[in-house]
Amino acid sequence: MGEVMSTLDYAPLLILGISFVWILAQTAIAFLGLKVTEKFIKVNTALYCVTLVILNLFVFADVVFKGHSYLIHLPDLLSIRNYTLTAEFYVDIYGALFALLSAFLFGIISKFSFSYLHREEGFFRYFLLISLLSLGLQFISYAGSLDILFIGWELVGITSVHLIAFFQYNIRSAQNSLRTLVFYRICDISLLVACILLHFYDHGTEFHVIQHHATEALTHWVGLFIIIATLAKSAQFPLSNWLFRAMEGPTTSSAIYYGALSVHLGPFLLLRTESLWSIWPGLRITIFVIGLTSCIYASLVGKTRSDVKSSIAYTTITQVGIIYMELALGLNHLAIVHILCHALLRTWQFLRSSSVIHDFLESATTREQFQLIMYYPEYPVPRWKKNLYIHAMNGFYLDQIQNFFFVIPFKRLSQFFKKY
Amino acid sequence: VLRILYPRLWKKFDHRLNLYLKSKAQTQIELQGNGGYTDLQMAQIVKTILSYAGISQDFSPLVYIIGHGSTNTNNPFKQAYGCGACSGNSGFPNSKSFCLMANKREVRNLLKDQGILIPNSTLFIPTFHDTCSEEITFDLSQVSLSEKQKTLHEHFENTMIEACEKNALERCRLFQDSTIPQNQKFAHEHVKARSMDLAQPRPEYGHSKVSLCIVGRRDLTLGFDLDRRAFLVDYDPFFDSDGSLLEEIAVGAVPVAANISLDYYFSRVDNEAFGAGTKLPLNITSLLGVMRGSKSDLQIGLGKQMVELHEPLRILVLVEAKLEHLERLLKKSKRIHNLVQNRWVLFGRICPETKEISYYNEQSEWVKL
Repeated sequence: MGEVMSTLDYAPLLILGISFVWILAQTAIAFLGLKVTEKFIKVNTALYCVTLVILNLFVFADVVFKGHSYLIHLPDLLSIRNYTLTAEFYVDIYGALFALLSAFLFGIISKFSFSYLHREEGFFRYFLLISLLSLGLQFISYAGSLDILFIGWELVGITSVHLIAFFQYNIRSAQNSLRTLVFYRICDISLLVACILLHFYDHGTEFHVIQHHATEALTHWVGLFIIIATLAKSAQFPLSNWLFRAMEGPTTSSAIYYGALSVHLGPFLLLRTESLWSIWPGLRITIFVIGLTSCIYASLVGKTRSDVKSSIAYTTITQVGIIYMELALGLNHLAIVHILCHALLRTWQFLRSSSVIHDFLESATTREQFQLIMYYPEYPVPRWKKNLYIHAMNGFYLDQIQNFFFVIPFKRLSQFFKKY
Repeated sequence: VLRILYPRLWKKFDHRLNLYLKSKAQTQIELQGNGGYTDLQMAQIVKTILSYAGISQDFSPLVYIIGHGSTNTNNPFKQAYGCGACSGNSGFPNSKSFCLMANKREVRNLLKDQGILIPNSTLFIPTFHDTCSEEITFDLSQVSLSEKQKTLHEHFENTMIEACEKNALERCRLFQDSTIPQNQKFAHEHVKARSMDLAQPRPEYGHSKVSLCIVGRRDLTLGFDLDRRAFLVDYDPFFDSDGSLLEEIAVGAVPVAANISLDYYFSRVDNEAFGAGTKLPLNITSLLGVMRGSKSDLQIGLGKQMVELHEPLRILVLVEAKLEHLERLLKKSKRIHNLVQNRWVLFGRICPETKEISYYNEQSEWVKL
């Protein structure tokens, strides 16, 4: 790790600055109630995307050329007694790669959305939200401390919830976005607790500080909280049943959030805080088990889904589970490559999800298989397979278990308080 | 990536790749294979279709049978963009098999006995018109053209391409996200790109805005701009002495026109209930239908993007025919009777001699306009 050497190294800040100004401008337009034409948004967003990609490419090349990561210090944001909120950015190859990926996919999705959302109500709202997403992702990629990362983390969560409820008149999309919000919140609390614990023991949440204190017994707990924090974003077991419900928004937003970027934030956060959990075998095993369970669970449930988007959602969970296992085994490079390839593939699959009927009709092999099933309905299936199918179709009763143990007691509690 | 950013470039690339990689399998239609048609049946089919089209003499050297279809991608509404009467299937195989029948010597001999003389110099050529990308395809693999026919064919091909380009230009007026192209060549390129674009929920507007169906001679509407809003069905009342031809044509065409127009009508009137809502959150389920978002009823109608320009009008069917033939048609055909009597379609008549239009009102009377 090295310090900043030249002004060129401040490029990540430039990226964040540009994104921030861009968002502010958009928000200002929204609040002033100015009427903007689609063309105006198109030109601006296109410019913004191109800038983002070029700058990120530059940062990436810079890091690769240097061969080591570096820190950027800014003046402290807040200082109360012995608490300081430092503004620190950490640039390394993983972060730069993830930022580049997010900028690139953001560009692709914007281009796709120009004609896809044409004449749609909320055209402007959509672009505002996905630009916020891009800002959040850049924050996460270049954050130097958990505090800074938390800003991006929240931006991604909030925009995600808003985009699920993109079609506001639809009651189901509102319900599902609320469910997603609850899942996100639970895990955000966990991340917040991790931050507080780190501050409480007077270490600060900067990644480079964490590395030095990693051996202290406290990090055991912090690591556990961080693992919990990643569960909802990556839809890992036991919090995976919201992901297919999140398919209420436009296909493009489903693609960028649940196919590509938002679901990979969990592994990314684990990668960032590796020093917290990697020394504890117990935590490694926990991550491995979570990955394995999600993998088995999602692949079984996903096979019983009849609609495209749900099955893509479950296969995503499966792959992210595998990434968790890779991380637990310490295969970091493999994990990041896996994230890259997986994100690109899923985006493509989501965007093409409306073509499955065409594909089915054109592909001879799937049709033959299909006919085989049609012709031999009496094909002997062992009893356990049938049972497994039925259980998988019900999502292994995850909804009911969550309802019974958490939702109903919580409602009772609130009823109880309502009396007083 | 290329496919999303530059659909047009992708198409060229894909086309090259396909030429390079695949040697296209030549398929032939086997008419007389297992359980196929006999010569007599084929002659019957050819005769009926020729009589619908009103051709029984003076055959030109080349007769084109044009099927239609629609190429678009990433749109689960095939049945609406393609042929509305046959769940979106392409008309090319039909036109191919018809031409095979009509070009067959045995069939022609049989037709000669029934009074339809097709000269040897006449050839039927299967043709396909893609209503979305405005491309026209001729299948010349089954016929051999003489020199004279070749020049004629070239001429026709150029005319058709020009017509397609003009049609593309006309369609481009409706697309709000295209700058109205002045040049028809550019318009043609634009619609081609639309048909390949994954991100395009409006590859074409299909039958949107349809409000009229005219059954009659084509010189009725010659030179008259109908603004892409009419079904035109060819029928010559003077050619049809006893009204049987009218029955066959009307029973074939009028319900189809009514179905299409009602499909658009209801999808437009209540897009959420009878249509499919906006296309953006649609989710294909079980490879057969679409639902909205993660969980919903199967959507039954057309997407918002397909009907947004449609004016919900009941279709007006105008038939140029003799009064007694029409009266008999309304009595005899239950389907048309129901459509007309229950006001699913508005019905009118054009008098073949005087060109006067009369309207069939609720009390089943003909009112002159």
